[in-house]
This record gives sequence, C-alpha cells and structure tokens, in this order.
Amino acid sequence: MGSAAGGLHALIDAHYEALYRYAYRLAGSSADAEDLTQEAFGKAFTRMGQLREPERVKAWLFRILRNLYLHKVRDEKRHRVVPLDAVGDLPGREGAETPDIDPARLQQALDELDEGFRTPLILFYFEEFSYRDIAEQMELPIGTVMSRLARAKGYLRAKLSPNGAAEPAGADLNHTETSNRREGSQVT
Amino acid sequence: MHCRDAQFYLRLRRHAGDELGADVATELGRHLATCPACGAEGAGAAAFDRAVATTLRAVPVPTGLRDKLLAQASALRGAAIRHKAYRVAALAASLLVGVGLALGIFAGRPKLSGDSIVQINDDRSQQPSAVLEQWLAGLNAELPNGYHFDPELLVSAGKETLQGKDVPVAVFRSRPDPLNPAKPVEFARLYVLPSGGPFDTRDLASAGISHHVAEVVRDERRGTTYVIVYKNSPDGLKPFLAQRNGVPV
Repeated sequence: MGSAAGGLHALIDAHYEALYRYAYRLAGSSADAEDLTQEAFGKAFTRMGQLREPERVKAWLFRILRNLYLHKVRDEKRHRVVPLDAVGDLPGREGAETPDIDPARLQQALDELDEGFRTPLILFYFEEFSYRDIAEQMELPIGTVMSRLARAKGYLRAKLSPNGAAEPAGADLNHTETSNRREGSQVT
Repeated sequence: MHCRDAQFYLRLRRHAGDELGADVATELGRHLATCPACGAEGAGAAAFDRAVATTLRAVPVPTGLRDKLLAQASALRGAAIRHKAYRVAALAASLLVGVGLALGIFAGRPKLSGDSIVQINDDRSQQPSAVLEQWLAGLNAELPNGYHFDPELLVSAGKETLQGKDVPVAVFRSRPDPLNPAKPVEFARLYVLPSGGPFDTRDLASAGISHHVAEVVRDERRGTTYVIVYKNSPDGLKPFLAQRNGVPV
C-alpha cells in the first residue's frame, strides 16, 4: 500500500511542473492549466494499470493532458484560432536579428495558433520529446509534424519580429471560429 | 543543398539534440559554411529558438499545486482502499451469515424485515433535516450559532473515537461545484462535546495545521462545546452550509 502511495507521490514530484507548464502554454491561463494538471493526474491515477511502457510515463501524461484539453475546447466550441490552412508556407528570410521575446506576445501568438500547430511547437521548445514522440502524441506521421513545425515556427517568428505586424503568407488573422475537429485527434 | 531546403531544415534543427540525421546535418553544415545568407539565417534561427525556448519554459508553477495533487492522490488511494475493504467485508459478512444459517445460529433471533429497513431509510432520505435534528436533540444540542450546516449534505451522525473516548460527531460532505464537477469531495466534522462528557474542554482552543483547521464554538447556555474540523481552503465552510439563492444562510 505504502509503496503504491509512494509511487503516486514520486510520479507527481517528477512530472507535475513540466505538465503544468505544458498545460499553461496550451490553455493560456493559470487557472485552466491548474485544472488540466489536476484532471490529468486524476485520470492517470485511475488508469495506471493501462500504462504499457512505464519508461514512457511522461509522454503518457502529456498525452492525457492534451486529450483533456481537446475535450475542453471541443465542448466550449468557441476557441478562436488561426485555422490550419491559414498558417502560410515558408516565408522568406527573416534575418539574423535576435528579438527580445515578450512573454505576453509569445502566449498571444500561441493562443492564436490552431492546436495542430501549437502542440508541436510547444513540445519542440520544451526539448523533452523527440519528433517521433510528438508524432505519436498527435497520432500523425512524423513528416506532417515536421512540416507543421516548420510552418508554425515561421509564423511565430513573423509574429514576434520587431515590426510585429508581419504575417506569414496566407494567414488570416480575422480569428475565424474554428473547432479542433479539423485535427481528428483521438480523445480518451 | 539549395537555399530553400536549408531554410526548411534550419527550422527543424534543434539546438539540444539534432534529429535531422547525419547526412542532412552534414549537407546543411556545408551549405551554411558556403552561403553567407543562409549562414546568417542559421545564426538568427538558433538565437531565436534559444530566446523562445527560454521564455516558453519560464512559467511559474503555483506553490500550492503540489499539495493539491498529493491530496488528490491520497483521496483516490483512500477511495480505492475503502472499496477493496468494503468488498472484503461484504464477502466476510456473507460467509458469516451463510455459515450461521447453516449451523442454525440465528434461529430464535428476531427476523430483520427488509421492508422496515427500506421504510426507515426512505423516511431519512425524505427528511434529512429531521435526522440531524433528532440526533442533536438526543445530545441536548443544536447546530452552533452561525454554523447552519446543510442537512442534505449529512453523510453520517454517530460516534467517533477521539483519544480513546467515543465522541458524537456528524459528518457532512461538500456540495458539488457546478463550475468544477471534477473537484474532489471534501468532508467537515461537527463534534459535540457536552460539559459533563469525557473531556475537560475549558481550555480547548481553535487550532490549525497545514491542511485542516479546527474551530471551537461554545454554547454557554447548554454547556456544550462544538468542534468543527474541515479542510483549509479559500471557500472555508461555505461548501457545507445551507444556502438560499446561492448565499450561505
């Protein structure tokens, strides 16, 4: 009994901070991030027996959290994002300047991205998952993930460039009403 | 490698662990060394990635989150253990009854009527306030002034052992939060300690530890001391108290 409880505590200690940060970047608010983190651990506790590869528990937790998030935005049906098709192809050279990243603008740019672009971008910069891990989490071919990542990074760099207003080719920032059903992601 | 390919691969290059593969990495490196424009672009992309990665990971984690998660884990663990215990107890009880019936141990004892059990519990569920009132009346007590617990939230009213002595206690569950259905259920306990009871309560004072608080309320008229124990949270006792139009009575 004690070891099982100790296992849960160790699981929390090992992953709760990374999971919260991921949730925060996905949802864009600390309240939603906290709820998602608690719900993800709650679901994980009750489904611990379904974990096939204990060494991949972190990816499993992240996947649970993402599915919870997708459920949430699907239920709300009012997540305002730049749709997948509107994130343009590779723009031209952006130059070598290093911008000062304003955290608020960064989060705003992430919030505007469709989840199908936002998730690989966040996981890429967290540097804790390989492209293969990201592809498995999103149930997409690795080539699709890499393509989306390249486009999302181009979008992000344009948004955060010093002039700020630059948009990637084809981007429609009129905040169209979009649901994440485009993704067709499997949810638990 | 062409410049356009180089730009694509530059976006996928990770400064901590390159996953592009040796052949692509070699070609990309060769191109960057010979193409000043792509070389500058590569340097800019790497600097941009470092800046974004640093900013993206700089999310302060709420200080109380770990405690909440540990409490949630303990509650779920406790529920699982109780569930197992109930199953074992139910099995043991059925075995005991079966063996007793087989040996005729229960012959001659009054028979328990299923209808009467249903009737009693039906009455209780329809009049939860009566159950609480009757229990308090039996103790010559009443709800302490300002603590109007919602009878609908009463889980049990009986006795609990404190420091080796049986003490009357009513247990209330928290009201579900419609805005957060996943919020764990909490419990509040109302201990009723009469002046002539097993404990000297004259010096008893309110107390609090990290997760729970105990409030002491004295009813001088009845000579009764009440101790209310509940989890320390911003809502306090609000989830346990009777409400009128969403406002505690």
